[in-house]
Amino acid sequence: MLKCHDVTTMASDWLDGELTTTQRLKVRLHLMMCRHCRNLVDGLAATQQILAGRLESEAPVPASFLQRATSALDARLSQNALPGPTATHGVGVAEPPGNDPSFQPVQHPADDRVRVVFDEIREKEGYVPNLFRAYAHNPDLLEQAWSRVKTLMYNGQLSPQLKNAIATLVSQDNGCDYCVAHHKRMLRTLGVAPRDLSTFMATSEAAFLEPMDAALLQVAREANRNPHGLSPDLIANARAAGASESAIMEAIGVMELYSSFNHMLDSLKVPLEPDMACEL
Amino acid sequence: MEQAVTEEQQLVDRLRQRDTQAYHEAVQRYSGAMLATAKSMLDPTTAEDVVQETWVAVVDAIDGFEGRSALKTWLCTITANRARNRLRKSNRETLTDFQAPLDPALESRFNEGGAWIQPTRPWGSESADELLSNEVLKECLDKHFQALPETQRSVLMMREMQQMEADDVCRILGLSSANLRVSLHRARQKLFTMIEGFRETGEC
Repeated sequence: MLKCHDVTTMASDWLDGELTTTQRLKVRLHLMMCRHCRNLVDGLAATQQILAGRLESEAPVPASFLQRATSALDARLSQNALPGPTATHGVGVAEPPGNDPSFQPVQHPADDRVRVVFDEIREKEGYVPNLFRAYAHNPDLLEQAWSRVKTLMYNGQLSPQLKNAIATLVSQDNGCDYCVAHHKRMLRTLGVAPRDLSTFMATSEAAFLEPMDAALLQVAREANRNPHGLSPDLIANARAAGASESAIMEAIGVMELYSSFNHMLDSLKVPLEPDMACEL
Repeated sequence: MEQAVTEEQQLVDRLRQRDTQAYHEAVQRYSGAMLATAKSMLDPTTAEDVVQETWVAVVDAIDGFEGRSALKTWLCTITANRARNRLRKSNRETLTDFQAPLDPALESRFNEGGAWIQPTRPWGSESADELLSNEVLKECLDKHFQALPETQRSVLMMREMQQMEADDVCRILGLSSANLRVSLHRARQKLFTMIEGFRETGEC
């Protein structure tokens, strides 16, 4: 038999049809016998109606806003209209988008340790991104950064799609264009359909991930955005979807790695490689 | 209704073709809902910035629009997703809000056995419209809505006002579905007790 406190707790779920059949029967039985709880439920339902009548789903649109938004859109659309076969994706833009450089990457390393690491990177990635060329000013940190990338991105148990999705989303949340460009390209290389990728970038819905990976992505994202406020439910959801403690730690590790790269790249304004500008 | 769907589909097709005129029409038509969504999370100036950025992002994102929701709802989803990132240093109050399903004001009206000590009165015959004809109540409601904790306010706006999918709201705000239900319930309780008090005293 439900108590009045239980019914009050479930009142919104009752009104929204979110209860299980058994719960619904119990609440109905209680409401038949308890006028206090009927009053509460009626009152909550009326509150909902009043809210719907009062709170505006549309805010007034100031003329100054319309003007600004329209001219921003016109500027964006005129980039698309530039002639040339590759112009659709911003290649023809005069100013290369991305970071405004202030910290020069190492182009010709003199240090032997740096050369060894660069050779390894070239072997894995085909070239040495400016991220590592920036760290190359400090060989200890370069070795450490590359070693973390090897551990987390080239080894480990999580799928490459998930790891690159974490890198992309965390970097987008942190506003790091450099990492967004690189990992968006990685996701495309990994076979994520352009349409899924557009949706992901706009709404952060990752239709290309399995349920466990989607749950881990949410944990990693919130761990970056709001560590003190991370809901324990999100970790419980990841466990329920099959994630081990080790997998959860790895997802957090990928978040940490990119969050630190984001901070380094953006504070020193390390330039994006020119051929990556089309990804933005 | 069907005609509306077709008209929206035509607009989407033109947006996909990057038709400038179509973007101008869409900005006129949908910015109000997007601004309301952003303002439930941010101050008005930042909200306008976010909506403007969102429009520019839509030029790339429109190819991913699948028509599972209305265009307006989808635009609000993108807006909210971007607005949330402006809140990065967000408050730490939210966690405790998820743990208790009842608002303290309502919780205190039960005894330890879970029975009412101070039950709610019958709601009476006054309709929502009649209540809303009261200017003082309207102002009071707006004030209390603005004073809701950030998560509760955003949840009300996204779920009740903009009809966004629960999954989308959870992803954007970093909530589990249970957290989302509790936030919604807590927000309604707060406004319910406010209206209840107003009806008894006539004061906000």
